[in-house]
Amino acid sequence: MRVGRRFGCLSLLMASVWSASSQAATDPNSLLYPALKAPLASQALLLDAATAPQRQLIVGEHGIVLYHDQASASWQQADVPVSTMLTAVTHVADDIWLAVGHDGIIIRSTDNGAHWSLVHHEVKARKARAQADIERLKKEIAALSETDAGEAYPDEGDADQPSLDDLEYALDDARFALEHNDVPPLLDVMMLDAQHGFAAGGYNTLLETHDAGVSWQYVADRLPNPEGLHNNVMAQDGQGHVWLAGERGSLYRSDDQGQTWHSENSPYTGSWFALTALPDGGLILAGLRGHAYWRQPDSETWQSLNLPTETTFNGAKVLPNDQVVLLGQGGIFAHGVLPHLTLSALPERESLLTAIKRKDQVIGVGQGGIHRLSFSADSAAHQEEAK
Amino acid sequence: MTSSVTPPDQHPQANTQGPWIERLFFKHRVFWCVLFVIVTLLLGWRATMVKPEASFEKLIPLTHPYIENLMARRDDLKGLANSVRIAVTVKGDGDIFDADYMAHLRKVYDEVMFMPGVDRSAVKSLWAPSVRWTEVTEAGFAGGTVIPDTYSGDAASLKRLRENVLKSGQVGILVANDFRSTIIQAPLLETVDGQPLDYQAMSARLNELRTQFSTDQYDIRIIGFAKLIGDLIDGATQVVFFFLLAIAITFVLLWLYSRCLVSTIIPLVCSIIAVIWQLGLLQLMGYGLDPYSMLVPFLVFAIAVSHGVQVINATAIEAAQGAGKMMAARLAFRGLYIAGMLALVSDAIGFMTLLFIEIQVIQDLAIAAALGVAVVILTNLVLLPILMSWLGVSRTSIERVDRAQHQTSPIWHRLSFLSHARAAPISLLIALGLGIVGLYGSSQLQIGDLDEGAPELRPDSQYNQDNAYITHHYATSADVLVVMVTTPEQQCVAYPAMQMVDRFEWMMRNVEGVQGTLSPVSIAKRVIAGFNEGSLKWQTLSRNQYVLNQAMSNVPPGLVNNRCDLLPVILYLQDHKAETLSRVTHQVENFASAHNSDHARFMLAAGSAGIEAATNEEIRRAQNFMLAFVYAVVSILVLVTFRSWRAVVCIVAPLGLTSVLCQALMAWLGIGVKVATLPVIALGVGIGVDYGIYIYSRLKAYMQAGERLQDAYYHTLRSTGKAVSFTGLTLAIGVGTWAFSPIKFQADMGILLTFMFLWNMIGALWLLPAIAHYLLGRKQPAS
Repeated sequence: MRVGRRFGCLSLLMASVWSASSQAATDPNSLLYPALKAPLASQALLLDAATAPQRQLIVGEHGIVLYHDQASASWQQADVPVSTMLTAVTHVADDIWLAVGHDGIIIRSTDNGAHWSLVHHEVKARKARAQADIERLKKEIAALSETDAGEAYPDEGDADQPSLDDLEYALDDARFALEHNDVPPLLDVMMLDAQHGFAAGGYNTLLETHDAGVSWQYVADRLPNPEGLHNNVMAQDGQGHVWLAGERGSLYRSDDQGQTWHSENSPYTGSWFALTALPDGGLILAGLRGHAYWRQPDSETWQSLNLPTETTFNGAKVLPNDQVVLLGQGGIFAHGVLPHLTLSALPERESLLTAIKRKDQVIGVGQGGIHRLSFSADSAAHQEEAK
Repeated sequence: MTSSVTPPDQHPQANTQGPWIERLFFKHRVFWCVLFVIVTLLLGWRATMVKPEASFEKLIPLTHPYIENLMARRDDLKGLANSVRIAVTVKGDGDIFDADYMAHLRKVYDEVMFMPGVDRSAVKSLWAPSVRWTEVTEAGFAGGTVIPDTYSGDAASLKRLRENVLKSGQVGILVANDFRSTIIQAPLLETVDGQPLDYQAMSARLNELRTQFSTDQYDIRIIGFAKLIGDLIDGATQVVFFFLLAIAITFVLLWLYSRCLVSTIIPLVCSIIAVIWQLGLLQLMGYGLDPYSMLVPFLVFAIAVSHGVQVINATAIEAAQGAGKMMAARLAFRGLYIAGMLALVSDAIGFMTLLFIEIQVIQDLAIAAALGVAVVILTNLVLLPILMSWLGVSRTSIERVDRAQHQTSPIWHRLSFLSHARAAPISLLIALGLGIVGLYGSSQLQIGDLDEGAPELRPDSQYNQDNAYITHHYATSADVLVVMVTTPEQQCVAYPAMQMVDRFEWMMRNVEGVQGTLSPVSIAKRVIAGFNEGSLKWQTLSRNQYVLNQAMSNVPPGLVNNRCDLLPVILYLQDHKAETLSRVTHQVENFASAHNSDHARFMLAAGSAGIEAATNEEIRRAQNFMLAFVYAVVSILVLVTFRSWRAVVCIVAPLGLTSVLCQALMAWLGIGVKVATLPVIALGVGIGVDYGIYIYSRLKAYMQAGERLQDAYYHTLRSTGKAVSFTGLTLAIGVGTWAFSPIKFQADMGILLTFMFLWNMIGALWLLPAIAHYLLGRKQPAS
């Protein structure tokens, strides 16, 4: 109760806090610091990993990007111009990589992950959009006011035509966006080919690129997501359908490379955090409270994996030999060949988000950085050989 | 002060007048004795009122900027400090998920809850209703107490308990990493019924708890500031026993030395009177006895005995040469009062140099010691000869002295060759070698405490064993540095401040020696993830002020102050070695100077390690200055007295060798320069100069009487050498008993002072004549 009283008065003072922080933050660039080169980078909170033939990358909090080629023995920390949390990384083509994160940051590397540059900063991009919107809305409002003034009874039944109120709300929103720096985080990034890809994020954020990640367009209005739920994770199945899963069971599919999207029936109403394509072209989908499903390529239904846990799964990964591993809170992971997964847990109980294969090891990535998972990268049948 | 040392061999029997000061005391002996008795009774009565004390504030350099920052923010940081942690551990096999264990824990928990001084509302334990587990569900959070309401001790409820413990996030905090113990954390109140918390009583209650609940199956381990202070005061009071031991040993030595009951008892009595006066005066001046200044009575006693022995020795020599009781005492006084006063005054001034260290215990110790030494001038240079003028040295003793005077003493004879042309260069070479070894050794000397755990106590003390157990089984460290990040009022939740703290924490996490960090910001980040269904991709600061406000309102009370203008960043350090502390504080200062802004200012320092860092800096600053000052003072005193730079070199050079060797010894024994050991060097030099002064003044007198250096030195040794070596021994024994103190720093002080007293004696007897050979020997006497 002491806490309540202490911070009760804070809400009254929030206005002053607000203005102070926004004044200081008028130039968003001034809030970007290069990532600290940290000896303990591999023990920080690491959130995603990606593999290309000659290279593996891991990203995490404090702008950490770790890279590792197949030959070298240890993880190197890359030069990154931002220190915001990076939530996802993907390989684009050749030596090009992309990573996304909080503040709507997108960074890009063209030297196989060693050096990165900022290509998109949503804090700035949204302001630019807001500026353009304000100009446009002002004109539209002016135009609408003129026509309204001429008509005694404005046509309220015209659904395509926004009302004056709608335009003014939109104007307020745009002005608000212009003044503030809090943009939703980006949570996943996926390339459909070497040029075309998407970055998804909180509060229905969706960005698209057609030039291998150099420039990004805001395309969130393509999604049927009026509540603005978080878009957590994306994947492309064997048939070329693009899937996007998110908060409170939201699940969308696009059959035209992400140009149009429709809602899919979700087997669960809790949030999804894990969505990965399977080698046979199917999908695995998992999320809150141990809910995990798979979908065979020719099937229209999701089958439950019935895992005996109520712990949230954060990520799913396919390993060589068709092994699948689901990774979750408190260090739990379920691995095996679908549909038979067995549950285990890290002794240190630190939450995991993803996994990669390194030599014969499977490495779990999450809280506390890099963990060795206690099973071999090859299937159980080959375990002895692997040793 | 002018030199008028009477050559001891010229016996001005006829001259009964002596200097005015001698007449002042010896003409009115009865008056002086009565006065001494009255003053002793008065001061003795005050001395009984001296209280042991262990004030935290006295141990720290209050004028250091770190401490000034800390004191300014003290009230805001209250929530961080003062709690005791009681671990209930399983002794044999098995773990805590056991009905018996949980029942036992419940009993201990109930007992702790009813202990006076414990803040009941804030006690944490598995049994405390405030300790909960949470998990994220579709609808938000679910949670409950860790021990289920339906707990019955059966297998099913123990299984539930195990699951809840894992979900609670208390592993490493309240539950040991190996599940073989749990902690009851009891924050203490500042005041109980309007009275400040009595740490000694609190510690006693905790000891009772330990005896009551330690069984064959379960053990109790307790750590916390209150327990530490309690153990310190308990340990310090054992020192009384060492004092009695020192008196007993000194009695035996005096008896062996003089074989005369009067000569044994009178110096002892006079020395004890000196201690009584010193304690009484301290009490009158409003001081108590803390674990540091407890050393002072020992020092005063030892110094008093050593001067007493000089007087007795001189009296016996005079008596052996035919002087009557009165005359012998007067001649002894006449021969010694200048050298004695010079020695004691230089002791006192040596101690006063400690006042330059702005740590109050050291300053108190300086005052107490200076006062004690001043008192010794009266008791052992005045009262003692007056008493001897009535009692006189016993016949047997005089005969012994007489016999010794007329025989050639083989030991002293051999020793006198140390001033010979053959021996002197060898001695100097050895001294030079030792000096180089010492300098190399002392370059390894470290500042600060080097041992694990609570450095005040011995590594194998109960407290440190408990501390080691808890730090090894839980994810915590006892060495905590708190960086205070100040923000404008009500702006501690503002994004720029929190973001800077976040950066700072990550940078510090990567500094070698930092094991972990905690701050309201790192907790807020976890809360933000919690509000986002536990997703770790959200475990970072948001630029949205509402999100930050909501997150910060979930930070436990005590970490953020009411004005919301202070964010404490707690750095858990690997150890409290000076190197670690300075590395970490250096990084903090660098960050602060690069990033301090109106939004957030980074200030050092609170926490045990913060205070230690400040103390180390103060000691580093004061150390060389103090050493230079004490040597300067001693040199000037010697120079003024003997009016000869040669005297300064003869007397001060052996001291310098001892100081260097002492530093090397400290490095070798792993004793750092700290609050306890810093005064030792000043004390050692101050007291060590006595020997040199006594020997040099005699030597000079014999040489002025026309003797060659070696003869003069032989006579010096015969007359005063025995007293000097005896003095070294008694001083060493007086403080040497401290080596057995249960308190580590007292033991360190004891060992180092013993070393310094013995080596100063060796330096005076061995090195002084070798140096004299070069400085005085070539000058042929005038005759």
